[in-house]
Amino acid sequence: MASHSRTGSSLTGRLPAAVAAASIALAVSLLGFGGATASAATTTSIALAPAAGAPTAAVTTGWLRLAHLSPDTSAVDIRLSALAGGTVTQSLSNIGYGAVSAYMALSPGTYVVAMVPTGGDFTQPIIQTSVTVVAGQPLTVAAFGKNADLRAAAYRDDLTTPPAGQSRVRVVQASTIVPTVSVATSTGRSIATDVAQGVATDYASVPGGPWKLDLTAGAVQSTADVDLAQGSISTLFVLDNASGGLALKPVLDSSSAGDLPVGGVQTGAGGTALVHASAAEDSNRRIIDIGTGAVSVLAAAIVIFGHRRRTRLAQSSSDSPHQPQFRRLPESYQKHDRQWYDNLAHERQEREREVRGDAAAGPSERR
Amino acid sequence: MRFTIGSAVVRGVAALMLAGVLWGVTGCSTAVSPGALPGGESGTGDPGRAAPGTAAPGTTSPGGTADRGGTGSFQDPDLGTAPGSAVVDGSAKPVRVQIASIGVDSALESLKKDGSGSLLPPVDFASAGWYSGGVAPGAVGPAVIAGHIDSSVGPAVFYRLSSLAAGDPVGVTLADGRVATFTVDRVIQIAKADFPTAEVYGAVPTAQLRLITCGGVFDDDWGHYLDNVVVFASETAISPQP
Repeated sequence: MASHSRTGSSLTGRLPAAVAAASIALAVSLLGFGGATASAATTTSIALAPAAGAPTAAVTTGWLRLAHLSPDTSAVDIRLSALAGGTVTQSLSNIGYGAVSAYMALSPGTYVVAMVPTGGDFTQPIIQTSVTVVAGQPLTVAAFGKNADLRAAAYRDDLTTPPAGQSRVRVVQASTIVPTVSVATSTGRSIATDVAQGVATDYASVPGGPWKLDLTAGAVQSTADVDLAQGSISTLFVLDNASGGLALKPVLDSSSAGDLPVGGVQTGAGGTALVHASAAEDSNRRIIDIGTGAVSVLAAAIVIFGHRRRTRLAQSSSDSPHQPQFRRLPESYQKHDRQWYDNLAHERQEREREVRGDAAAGPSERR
Repeated sequence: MRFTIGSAVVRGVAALMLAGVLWGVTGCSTAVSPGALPGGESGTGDPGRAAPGTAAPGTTSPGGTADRGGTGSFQDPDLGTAPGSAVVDGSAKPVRVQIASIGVDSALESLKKDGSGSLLPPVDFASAGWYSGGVAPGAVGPAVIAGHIDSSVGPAVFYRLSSLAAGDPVGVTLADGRVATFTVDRVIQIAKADFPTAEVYGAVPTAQLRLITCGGVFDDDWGHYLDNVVVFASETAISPQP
């Protein structure tokens, strides 16, 4: 096998966008949204820097998903609008407690997320926050806490592809009945310890597959079955339920191609290739190739030379009375024998007819 | 990772300073202090990851609970799938790929990896194949469909793949009858020696598709093309189950 150390003309330059995105400043401005517009609203502004390494130049959008994590707040309508101009970009309706939307692909920029009770008036949102979307970075914006103390959070979600056979998982603690919660597998592998309300943990790697998880929060305990496929990245939302207990909602953040292939794919046999190359790498192979080439050239020369010689003889046959088979005349013929001349003329005529016939039929027969 | 720790720290410090300036300018109350943003990657203490507080403090509604949508009691959470989602759960396998703009309408073989981890191409030069060790088209993640550009004697199923352009639609029919429609984002041609495994097969947060074939120069000694052509597409619609 030939080895290929070819320097490819890669079309991708993946670095610049990551650098540009990372230069976005972190800023916070908490604005009491008082006065005429929305006395009950809480407005926050949250700008996030992207995780290093995740974005690529090729990815031009960011992603945002929305979550309703307030246990005593009815279903809500959610609007996403561009901060500049106020154009409504996305609108979700009747989102119930515990719901987490799919990611929406968004052009980079700052957006305002506003929530109202289903059918409510968006001039009086119950919570409102602004968030900055950057290319290549997925975000989760959540409303959590009790209705009377509704808060907003923006979490930076992770796109790091899990190692082979692994999945990655984190916990978002949105329960209001316990201050902190710990999550571990039934086999004792800790996923998160003492997570405070509103906090999202770092991602932990666990082998891909089905898991039984234990939730522990002081006296309150619960278990949940989750399937963490290899190559997947998930968030476990810890929630309240109607009977004073804990519930766990697993949500897929992102996924790689699962059992990750490596490198390119051999999807062609060359039948239509416009350009062929030869990449023999060792000198022995090259010598053999040169030798083969030389022999081929020699053989071709012999064939061509022979062919040209035969062709020249055939072309000259009409000028000469002698066909090759008639060169050696029978000894019995006398040079001045009239019969000999007559015979020779006759045979020559016949031969010429034969050659003309051959020439006419020749090309089609040769094909 | 493309960043050195040094540059990350510098960037992070700068960001933190800017955050502080803005904090002052906006005259925010000190009742809420910015904490480290939960989430993100490992807790290295990198200040670049420091971000505004997890949450802003809410202001209590003065007007009771009715106008705020308060229910007065806890509800059971919705533990179902995401609302407004165009994704499928991945249980329905793809059976057919159709790309009208280049005349492709092919059944799908089931593709596997070889011992070295490379994706094996379809056996039939006239058929595309889906990498069944990966995600299904329509589910979150990059679904992978590969097909030959040619056989040793002539064009094969993905002969014209490189002529696809951003905006072209690609349809994938699932076993349950639904059709996931993807829209081409971009097309790259890249040396197999430099194949961007992470970019092609790595984690993405939405339902996406990768179409792969060969291209460029054919190496007669190796018996393969030197380049791969990869089409990146994102799901834009899925038909309801018939």
